Formats: sequence, structure tokens, C-alpha cells
Amino acid sequence: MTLIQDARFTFSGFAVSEEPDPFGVWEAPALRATSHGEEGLMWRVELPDADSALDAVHARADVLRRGADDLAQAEAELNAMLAGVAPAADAEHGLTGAVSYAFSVPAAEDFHPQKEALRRTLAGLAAVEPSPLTGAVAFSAVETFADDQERKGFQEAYRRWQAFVEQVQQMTAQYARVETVIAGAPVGLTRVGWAGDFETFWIPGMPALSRETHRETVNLALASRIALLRVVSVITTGAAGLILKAVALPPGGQVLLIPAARRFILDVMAVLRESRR
Amino acid sequence: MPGDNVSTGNTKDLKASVQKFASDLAANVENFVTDISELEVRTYTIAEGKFAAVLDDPKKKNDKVITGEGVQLRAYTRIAFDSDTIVCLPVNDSGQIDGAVWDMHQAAVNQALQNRATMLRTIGDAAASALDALKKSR
Repeated sequence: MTLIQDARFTFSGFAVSEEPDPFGVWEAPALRATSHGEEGLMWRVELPDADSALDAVHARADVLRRGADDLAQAEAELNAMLAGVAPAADAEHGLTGAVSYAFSVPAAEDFHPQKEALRRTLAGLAAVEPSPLTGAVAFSAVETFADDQERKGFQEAYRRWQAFVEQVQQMTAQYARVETVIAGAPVGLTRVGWAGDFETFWIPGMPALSRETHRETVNLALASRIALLRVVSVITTGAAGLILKAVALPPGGQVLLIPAARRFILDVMAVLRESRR
Repeated sequence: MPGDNVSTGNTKDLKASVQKFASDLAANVENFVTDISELEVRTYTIAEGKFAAVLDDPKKKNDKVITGEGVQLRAYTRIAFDSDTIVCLPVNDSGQIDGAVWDMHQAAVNQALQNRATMLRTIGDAAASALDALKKSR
């Protein structure tokens, strides 16, 4: 008897392997399959048998749909947090004299650690000692870190940001190669360009069920690519919200908030996904 | 690690990185809008046993090298944005339309059209949010 769990869904080709799939649908292969000699992104599904193949692909499509719900919740959490950002009565003027804004994260909040991490990253950008009572952080234009923890938070956000930039660049420039293998035998290969051109390679004489499985595999890969682009939208929209609130950063410095938003969104998604296990 | 030497003193690097990200994304969206003026769908058959390899010329969309045993282009459809369509039908050895290949090709065309519609919406959202963030950051 074969199990759906025996199926392998792998995604490879990113120059940097940092968090290749925040939706938890695809895993990174142990070794990158490069036998075909192509550069670029590859989604590959290996299924143990034809009978369970379609169910296995549909089950992963459900995982992707739940991941999309997680993304929506992460976006809502960020928006709710932004709604609480207000001018700080006791921090109206930062060290540079610029008007500062502050927010606090009560311990009872959902996703408290993630919100704390966001606060810490922001503090790394504009360090003013947090209030010991409220935990409020004021944004201002100071170019020093308050402590090592803030520096580390900022460095980590920066490193992951670099990986994210590389991944988006590849995703929006290269062909997506989608392969379906059933019981060790190639069934179908489809390459989809950034603008949607399709090239499909079929092995003649494949049963209809196998062909349908490959079509659904292609749908899953394309939906995954679109979901990653949706992450980009949510992050930049969230960053725009932070920018509006953090008016005291130096001119042009507001763009630094995009990596902070990216980290928050993906961290919350990871927590939600983990909570279902 | 890229971030090991980061300090607030060189947040300029990060700022430049973010701005490059936004400008690259804008360029890719522009390419998308240009390329999307027509949609091409190709269906090939290939001998059993191994997938084909395709090497693209990044500068010329239609210049590519395809390697694989028994690779044959069997059907082709090009749909322009104004819906002008060119279709090359697959035929078998006796000159009849190969129904099996044609069905597979038709399914791929439908899938490609559906994907393009979804991509248009998604890219529109991504571009709008990136522009919004950039506008606010200036």
C-alpha cells in the first residue's frame, strides 16, 4: 500500500535557499536536480503510483489555500498593529528634534513574539530606549543601535531581505519548469514563462489520469508562484503603512521598513502553519 | 553572510538594495506588460524515459535549444491581445488530426489563458503596492 505521504513535492532553483516556500507546500530537494542542464526554477512532483497521484496533488493544493489564509491573517495582524501606532505623548521629539511616533505591544497580544521582533527591528533603525513600562519604541533619526539585540535583529532582517530580493528577481525573470513523475517514470513537463507562454512535453500514450495529474501539478506550481507574488504585495503594502506612521525617519530612510514588514509577515505565517501540525 | 557587517552606518546599502528591488520589479512588470501582448502555447511529444532539456536565449524569446530523444513539436497556438489567433494542428501519419495530442494542447491553451488572467490581476496588485510604498518613502 502506498501513502500520500510518500509523495515528494520539491522546489529548487533559487540562488539562495532561504525560506523557499513560506506556504509550506514545497520542500527543498536534498540535492538540486540539474540533470536537464537548465537554469531556473523547478517545481517537481514525484508520486508513488497513478491511483493516489491526483489526491496527493489536491491535498497540497489545500495546504496552499490554508497558507493563503495565513497570509491574509498576517496582513490583518500587521494592519491591526499599525492602527495602534500613534504619536507618543512622552516621545514627541526624538534626539534630533524630529517628531517621533511610538507603539507598544501588550504581552496578551496574539503573535506577541513576532510583534516584539518587529519592534526590535524598527528600534534597530531608529534607536531610542524603549520605555520599561510600556515597551513603546519611538522612531527617530538616530543612527545608533540601542543594544546588541537590536543590532542582531536588524542584521538578520537585512540578511533575509537580501535573499528575498534575489528570489523575487528570479521569480519574475525566469521560466518555471514543472515536472511530474509517477512511479519513477516521467509523465509530463511544462515550462511557463513569466508572461504566461506554455511549453508542454508529453510522453505519448499516458493514461488520462496521469495527464490530469500533471495538469493539476502545473496548476499547483503556478498558484504557488502567484501566491509568492501576493506575499510581495502584502509586504510592500505593510511597509507603506509603517512608512506613513514612522514619519520621523530621515528623508528616504522609510524604505528601510520594507525588510521589517517582510520579516513580520513571514514569521506570523510560520507560526500559523506550525500551529496546525 | 550579507548582513554580518551591517550597522546603521551602512543602512545606505540596504536603502540602495530596497530601491534596486523596486526598480527591478518595475522593469520586470514592464517586460510582463510588453510580453503579454501575445500568448504562445506549444505542445511537444517526447520519447519515453527522460524529460527534455530546454536552453533559452534570454535576449531572444523564440531562440531556444531543445534536447531530448524524439522531441517533436505537435501543436502550436498564438493568441494576440486583440484575440487574433494562429493555430497549427497536429496530424498523425495518415494526415488525420491527432485527437489525443489536440485534446492535450487544447487543455494547455485553456490553462495558459486562465493563468494569464490571474497573473494580470496579481501583477497589477504587486505593482500598485510597490509604487505606493515607493511614493510614500520619498
